[in-house]
Amino acid sequence: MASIARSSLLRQAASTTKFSAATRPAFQQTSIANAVRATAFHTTARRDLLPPLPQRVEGTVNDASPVPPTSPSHGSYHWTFDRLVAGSLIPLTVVPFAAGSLNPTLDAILCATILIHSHTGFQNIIIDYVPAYRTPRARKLFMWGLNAATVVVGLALYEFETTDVGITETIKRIWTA
Amino acid sequence: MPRLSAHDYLKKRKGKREKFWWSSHLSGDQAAAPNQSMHSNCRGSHWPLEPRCRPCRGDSDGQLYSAGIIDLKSRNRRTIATLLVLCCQPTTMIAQRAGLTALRRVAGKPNAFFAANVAKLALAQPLTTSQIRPVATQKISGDEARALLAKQRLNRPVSPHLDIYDKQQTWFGGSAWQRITGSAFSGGLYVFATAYLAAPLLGWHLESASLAAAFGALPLAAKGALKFLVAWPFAFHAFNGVRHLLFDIGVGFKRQTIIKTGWYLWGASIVGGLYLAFFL
Repeated sequence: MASIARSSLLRQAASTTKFSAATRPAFQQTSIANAVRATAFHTTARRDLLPPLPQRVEGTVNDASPVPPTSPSHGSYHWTFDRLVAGSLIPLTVVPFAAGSLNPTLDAILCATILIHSHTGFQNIIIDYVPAYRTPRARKLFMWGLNAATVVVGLALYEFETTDVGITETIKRIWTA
Repeated sequence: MPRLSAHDYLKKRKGKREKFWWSSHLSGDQAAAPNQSMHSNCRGSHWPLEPRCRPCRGDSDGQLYSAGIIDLKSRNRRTIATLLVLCCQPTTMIAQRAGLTALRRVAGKPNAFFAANVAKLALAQPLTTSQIRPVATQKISGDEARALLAKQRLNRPVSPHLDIYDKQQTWFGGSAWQRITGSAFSGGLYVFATAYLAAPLLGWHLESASLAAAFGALPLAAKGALKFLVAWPFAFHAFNGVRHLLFDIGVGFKRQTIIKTGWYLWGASIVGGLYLAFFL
């Protein structure tokens, strides 16, 4: 069975091969030779679903991974602050359902809290998926991009809160439209 | 179906690996270090630190192979050792593997390199049933070996692979959906706010009155669908947010409780989303 399949493959190869081995570029020759040699050992196809991000070796290869300097403001304080912000969103979310809407001050506080919550949430996502030790420049770019976006959104929310009817009232009007 | 933790899954996989080390060793390690050809025949633990192969010992079944350094010749002041691998029993099978694997590759999954080159590969390497397969090794210095190791470490795969996780946790885990729903809302807010700021320049109308009028003009089914599309993630993020805050103060953090509340969460968020969309 296999020999039948192979002979037809060879015939096909003979009819479609355009270049002889000597006219191929050098890099093709070496890569083909390597591939042929490696093919015998491969029984499964490689699937690069999530190719690893670029890596660097710090020091020598046998050194342990460097532990980043600890800092409570990037650690436990930050974590607690995140939870406080998230927790304070609970009453701000429940009140408009109970009272029908929010007064401008509470609405502005809700906007600001959501903005902080979104900003730190996006920060967490960037920290998780754009690691600084692998892609330091992309990390910096994303972080500063996020900062810029948050400033723009903050400005827009200020504009919206001061010239329009406020976020809860807007949602209410759209919902009942 | 019994639920497998990541640990159990790994244990299971490991068991399989040890049983079929032939395929897993050769495909797995080769896949991890595609440029590594020196020690591809060795099962020994010296890969990849030791720069030169020792003769491999055969498997206890006597089914595998033994190898020895047959030919030594000097070229460019370096010793090139040609390692001849003498296969014992499944020789013809292994010798044909190149052609078969290439065929299987082409038939199974489209692979740009092999699809384009398989014909040339077949010609470039005349298929043989000979029992000798030469594999070149090279003697390199300690520094070079370390440089090689460093280079290989740069090609380490993503770890842990997504495949090891329990499917229930991966697809229905509240934590992942919390992030997905949250970033959808926050992303929407950021896009809307930026558009609102740019609206006067672009001549758009994104004031609350225009938005309400535009939404009111939609057909009833579209309104309901859009409302549910917003209401369900809102309910999910709100309920699961409270659940996670409770986790953070140590409430409901037993494994069984987490799994149970995870399922309640889906029910509650769908019911809540339907209520917000159609009864509010």
